[in-house]
Amino acid sequence: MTPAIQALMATALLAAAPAATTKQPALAPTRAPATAPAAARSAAPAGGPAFLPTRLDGEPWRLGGLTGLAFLEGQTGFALRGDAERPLAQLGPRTRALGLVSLGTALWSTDERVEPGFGIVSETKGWSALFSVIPAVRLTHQLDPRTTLYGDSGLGLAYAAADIESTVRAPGLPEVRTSAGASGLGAVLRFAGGLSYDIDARLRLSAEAGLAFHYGEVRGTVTSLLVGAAWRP
Amino acid sequence: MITPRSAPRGALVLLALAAQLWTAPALAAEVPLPPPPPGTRLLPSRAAWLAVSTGPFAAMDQGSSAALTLDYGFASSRQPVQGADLEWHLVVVGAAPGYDAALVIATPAFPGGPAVPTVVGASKRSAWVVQAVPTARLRRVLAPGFAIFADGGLGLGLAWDETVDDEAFVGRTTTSRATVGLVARLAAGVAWDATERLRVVFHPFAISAELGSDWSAFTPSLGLAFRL
Repeated sequence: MTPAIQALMATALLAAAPAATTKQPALAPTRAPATAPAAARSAAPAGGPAFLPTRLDGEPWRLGGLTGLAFLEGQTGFALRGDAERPLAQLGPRTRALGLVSLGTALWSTDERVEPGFGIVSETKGWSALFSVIPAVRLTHQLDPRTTLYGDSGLGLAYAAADIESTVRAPGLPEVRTSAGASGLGAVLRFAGGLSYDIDARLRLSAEAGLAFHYGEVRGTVTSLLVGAAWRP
Repeated sequence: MITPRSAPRGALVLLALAAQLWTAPALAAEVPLPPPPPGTRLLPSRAAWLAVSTGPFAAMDQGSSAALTLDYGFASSRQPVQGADLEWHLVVVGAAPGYDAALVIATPAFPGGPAVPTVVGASKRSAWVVQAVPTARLRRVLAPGFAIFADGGLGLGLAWDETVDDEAFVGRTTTSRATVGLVARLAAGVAWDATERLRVVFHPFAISAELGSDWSAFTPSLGLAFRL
C-alpha cells in the first residue's frame, strides 16, 4: 500500500470516526437525556463551567388536571383545568423552563330569594361559564428531590356565556318573569404560581394560586385556588 | 491503466475517495470555529427577524380590542450589558379599541334628598390606533433556544377616533378627531426557538404610554417570529 493510499484511508477513517460518535454539529445545542438526573445533566467537562444550560427537546409531555375554586367579583365558583406541559430548557442545575397549554373552565351560579314582606317574593337564578385556552411558559425551581416551586404566565383566548332569570311574585298580581343572556370572546392573561410534589417518577401532585385578567368582550379578574395531579407517560 | 495486479489497489483508492466524499460535509459541519482574537467575541450573522403577534390592546378606560403587532428586528454588533445582546426593532401595533357606555347623571331623588344615578343616554366610541416605535431590545440567552428580553423605545402614535353621544333633550353629538402622540414603549418577555427559523415570542408585560392622546395601553402579546 502506497503512502498516498494510507494517507487517504487514514483521513477517511478520521473523518468517519467523529461522524459516527457525534451526531450534532459542534455549535448545536446539546440535549440532555430524558432520564438523566439533574446532577448528571449539569455535569460539564473538566475545567469548564459548573453548569451548561441545555435545550430539552426529547422529554415527554406531562398531562395533568386541576380543580378548585374560582373567585369573580365576590362570587365563588368551581374551576376545572387540564394541562399539557413539555420541558423546553434546563436553565440551571435546579431551574427549568417549560411550555404549557391549559384548557380550563369555571362555573358560577346564583340562586337568590328575597322576601321583603307583604307576601312579595323575588327570585333570581343565573349561571355563568368561562372557557379558556392558554398557552403559557412556566419556570420551575426544584426545592428538594421531590418538591418543586413554579410560576407561569400565559396569554390566550377566553369565551364566556351567562344567563340570568328573575321572577317577582306578589299577592293578587300576575307573576313577572324576566331573563337575559349574553356571551362573548376575549383575551385572558394569566399569572400563576404553586408547589408540586412528586409521588414517584410519573405521578405529581400540585397546588397553585392564579390570577387571570380578561380583556375584550369578557371582562373581570378571576382568582383561583387549584389542586391537582399530573402524570407523565 | 488498471491491471489485474493493481485492481485491488485501485478499488481501495476509489473506496477511500468515496469515504472521503461521503464524510466531507459531516467533517465540515463538525469543525468548530476558531477562537476569536483576544478582546473580541463571536457575533451571530446579522439575521433579521419578522414577528407577528396578537393580544389585547387594553387602553385603560378608553376601551379595549384585539391588537396586531408586527415587529422587524436585527441584532446589533454592540453589547452594552455583559451577558446580553442588543437588538434593534421596529414595532408597529394596530388596534381598534372602543366602548359602549351609558350616559348617567346624578339627580336628587327628591328636593334636598340623596342623589341617584339616572341614565340619560348612550355613548359609543370607536377608534383606530397605530403606534410605530423604534425599540432597543436587550436579549439574554439563558439556555440554547431560550431567552428573556426587555424592550424600551420611543415612537409615534396615530389615532382616529369618533364618539357618538345620544343624550335626552340634547340629541346626537358626533365628535371625530385625529391625534398624533409620542409613544414610550416598555416590554419584557421570553422567546423560545422552536426551530432555527421559527421563534415563539411572548410578552406578558408590554405597555405603551402615549403622550398627547388617550391611547395609552397595556398590550401583552403572543406570536411567532420568522427568520428572514
